This record gives sequence, structure tokens and C-alpha cells, in this order.
Amino acid sequence: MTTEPTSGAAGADVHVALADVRMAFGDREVFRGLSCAFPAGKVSVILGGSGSGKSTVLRLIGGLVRPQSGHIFVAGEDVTVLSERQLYGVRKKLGMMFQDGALLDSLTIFENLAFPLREHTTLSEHAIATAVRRRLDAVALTDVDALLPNQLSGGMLKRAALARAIMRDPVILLCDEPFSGLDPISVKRIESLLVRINRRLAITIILVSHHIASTMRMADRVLLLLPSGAVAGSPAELRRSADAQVVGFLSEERDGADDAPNAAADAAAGRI
Amino acid sequence: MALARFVQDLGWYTLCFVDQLGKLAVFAAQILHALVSPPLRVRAFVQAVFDIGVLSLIIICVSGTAVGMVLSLQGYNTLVRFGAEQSLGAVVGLSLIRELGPVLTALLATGRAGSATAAEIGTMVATEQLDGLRMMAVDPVDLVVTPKALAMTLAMPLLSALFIAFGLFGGYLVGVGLMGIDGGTYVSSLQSAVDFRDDVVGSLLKALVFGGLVGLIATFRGFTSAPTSAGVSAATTSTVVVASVCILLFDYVITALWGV
Ligand SMILES: Nc1ncnc2c1ncn2[C@@H]1O[C@H](COP(=O)(O)OP(=O)(O)OP(=O)(O)O)[C@@H](O)[C@H]1O
Ligand SMILES: [Mg+2]
Repeated sequence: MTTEPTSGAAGADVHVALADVRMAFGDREVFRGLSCAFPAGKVSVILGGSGSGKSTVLRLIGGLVRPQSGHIFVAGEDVTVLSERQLYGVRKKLGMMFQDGALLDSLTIFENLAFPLREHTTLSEHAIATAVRRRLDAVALTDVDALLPNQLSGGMLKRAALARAIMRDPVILLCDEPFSGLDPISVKRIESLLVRINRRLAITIILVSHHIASTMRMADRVLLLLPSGAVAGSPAELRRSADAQVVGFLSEERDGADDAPNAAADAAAGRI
Repeated sequence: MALARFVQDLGWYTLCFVDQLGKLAVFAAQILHALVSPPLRVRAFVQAVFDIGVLSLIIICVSGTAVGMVLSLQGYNTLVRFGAEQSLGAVVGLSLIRELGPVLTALLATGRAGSATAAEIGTMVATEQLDGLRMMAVDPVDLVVTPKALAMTLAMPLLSALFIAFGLFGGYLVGVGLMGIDGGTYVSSLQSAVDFRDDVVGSLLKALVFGGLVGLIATFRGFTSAPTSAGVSAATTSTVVVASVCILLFDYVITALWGV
């Protein structure tokens, strides 16, 4: 039905691609002709100012909003032409961590994490409990099983949301600002967790971040959303860029995002 | 000029109304589809029945008793002028069963449970919980909406029956205890006046229709609410207003068509 575009991704297989997407909410245009590609098995980071449409890119990929025109290919399927029912097939391959968690507030953290497994697998209660415990350990959350989402802090909520997103070992992981609101040690921890699952399971990771330093460390590819249009490239390419806007964005954000790696953070990251 | 503007507005509102009606029909079809396709959400349904039914018990019992009492008082004062106070049981029973039971129960349940349902679903929209479900390949209509709509539909006849039972009891209290009508007379007049098929079954069916109506409107308003706190409050208010008006309109239509 669809042909996969292979533009832009420097040789690697393209897992997710946007082709000439125009997106507007009412008469408020967010993208006009956005094209970009996210290579398979790599970590891609979307950077951009607040309101530049970073979350919207993730929602487009998940099929939660539909563009006015253009095509979006996810794992070989054009999600812009699929019906809601067909989209569920594609979404089973996706894990999404929302900017504000989006955990079900009537369920405990344990139930929230167990939920995707209960819905889509026939695992025993014991296996589910083990799987939940593993993910909670990975994001360094302890003693939260019986708590409701509104009893967690913002940073804990982010980590619980990330844990839920990786419950079913997705093929493509979408993370909306996994680092915001976290302390430096947790940032390191989540960063190394993401890199680890990316390397070990070859998961395609697309994340939205404001954290320039961690982005430059972990990204294989960066998509920079600027008012004048999108710029894509490897971190090194972007650093070498002569474009005034790119240079301005990267240097400004570097001043803003202060996460000087310290010994404690490194030690914590080394433990997991 | 003003007339042109009026016609323009009228056209616009008519279009909006038809548009909403179409969306409501699609939404109802989605609920019906979710109802007959697996998985069956037994746990969510039981929880919804508890939220809607059990938590409405007190308000239904208290209101039922109060309405029965006042009905009995008013009925006695009127009947006694014609020397027909022995028919008090029939008057209280028939008005409760055929009319007041289903209608007042539906109005009370709208305020108590319909608004809560709309607010709950609306909040889930505003906090992206429903989008979260979609991204986990779970249909929110299936998991969240259908159990609540079904619970509202099925709980309504039960609540209405309860309302009527307490109303009859309240009527007995005032008629027999206060006004001094013979207890046997009250009950036998009630018994001979009420027909099971015509009155009781009709009353339950009416309540079932109201339940479906309130369930559909409350979940639809919540589901389509704007993702803001103002959107949630608008959804709650309009649930109460729209559902109440619909109940009264449908009450007339059902009475005219079915004679209950
Ligand atoms: N549902 C919506 N209705 C109307 N406008 C919207 C909607 N969602 C997003 N927008 C607009 O789209 C633009 C991009 O929003 P988006 O949430 O993608 O920004 P973002 O880059 O994620 O910002 P932030 O860093 O603050 O999270 C914003 O200007 C916003 O006003
Ligand atoms: Mg965002």
C-alpha cells in the first residue's frame, strides 16, 4: 500500500518518517511542509523552543492527531490513512511516555504498569508482578506500588510513566521530555537506561528534550524545530552548523540547562 | 439587518445542533459495538454500577419517601372534597408508578451520577489519560465509556423501583398514620388500580429509556469535552441541562406513544 521513503537518514533504515506534513490547529499553523526521518534502532532527539511543536510530532506519529496534509510512515505503514481500529495494530508496536505522565489516576502505580500486560497478554499474575518490579527497578522507583499517581512527585511520575511505556518492550519508544523536572542523578540514570535499552533491544527511540547536554551525549540524530523550519543532523553536524539560529539555540540552551555531571551522578549511573 | 443576523445565527445553531446529533449517533454506535465485541469489561462495569447505583441509594430513598408523603397529603386534601379518600392508595400508586418514579429518579440520577460521570471522563480527556489508553492500543470507548453508559442504563429501572417503593411507603405513612385512612383500604385500592403489565412493566421500560438517555448524554459530553478545566465544567453543566430537558421531552413522547 505504501512505499517507505528513505530520505535523510544517512544510510540507516528509516523506522519513522514524516513527509511534507502540514499541521494546524484551527487557523494556528504548527508545521508547514515538515519532512524528517528517524532511523531504526537509533536514538533521535527532537529539540525546539516551547510551543515549537515537539509534542505534536510525537502525537502525529502515534496517530492521536491527524495532519491536514502529508504522510507519516511508522514501521512501514502510513498512519494518516489508517482507521482508528487499524491504528491500534500500529500502536501495539509503540510505547509512549506523555509529557504529564497520563497515568490512569484511579489505579495504583502497580496496576498502571500491569495494565498493558493485562490488556494484551495472558501472563500469570506472578509473571506480571515480576515484570512490573523489573521496570520499577530500572527507573529507580521503590515503595510506590500501592500509591496512586497523585501521591507521586512530578519526577517520580515521569519515571513511572516511562516504566509503563516500556512495559511491553515496544519497537519504537516515544518519550516526551523524560528529563524535565528530574534531579541530575535521575537524569543520568534515565539517560543510561534509555541508551541501554536502545543498544540491547535495538529499540528506536524518539525523545523530546530540553536538555542539550544529555542530548548531545546520547543522540544519534537531532531534529531541531526552529521558527523558520526544521533542521536535522547528527549532534556533531549541528555543532558545526553555521546557521545563526542553530548556533543561537544550542548555545542558549546550553547556558540554560545546567547539568554539570558530578561524581555522585556518575556513580549512580554506574550502579544500574 | 437585525433580522438577517437572527436568521444567520439560527442557521448556524441549527447546523451545530445537527452536527452534534450526528456525532452522538456515531458515539452511540461505537458504544453498541463495544458492547457486543470482546473483551467484556466486567470489573469496570461492576465498579460503575457501584458508583452510579449504590452511591445514589440514599438520595433515592429519602426523596422517594418525601415525594410519597407530599403526594399523599395533597391527594387526601383533594379527594376528601369529593368524599373519595378511600382511593388514596390508587392515586398515590398510579402517579408514582406511571410518572413520578421514573422521571424524578432520572432527574436525581442525572444530578448525582450523570454529572459525576461527565466530570470524570472529561478530566480523563484533559489529563490525556484517554490518549494514553489509545497509545496502549486500548479503545477508551470500550474501557471507560461503555461500562458507565451500560451501568447507568441498567441501574435506572432498579433505582426507579426503589424510589416507587419508598414513595408508596411514605404515602402510607401520611395517609394511614396521619390522616387516619384504614390501612387495608389504602393497600387494596392500590392493588386493584395498578395493572402489572400496563403500569409496572411500562414504568420500568420508561426508566430504562431514561437510563440509556442519561448514560449516553453524560458519557458523550465528558468524552467530547475541551481538555481544560473550563471544558470539564461546561461538560458537567450541559450534561445536567441537556439530560434533564431530554428526560422531560421523552417522558411526553413515551406517554403519548405507549400510554405509560
Ligand atoms: N489541541 C490543541 N489545540 C490548539 N492548539 C494546539 C493544540 N495542541 C497544541 N497546540 C499548539 O501547537 C503548538 C505546539 O504545541 P506542542 O505541545 O507540540 O509544543 P511543544 O513543543 O511540545 O511545547 P513544550 O515544550 O512547551 O511542551 C503550540 O503553539 C500550541 O499552541
Ligand atoms: Mg510538549
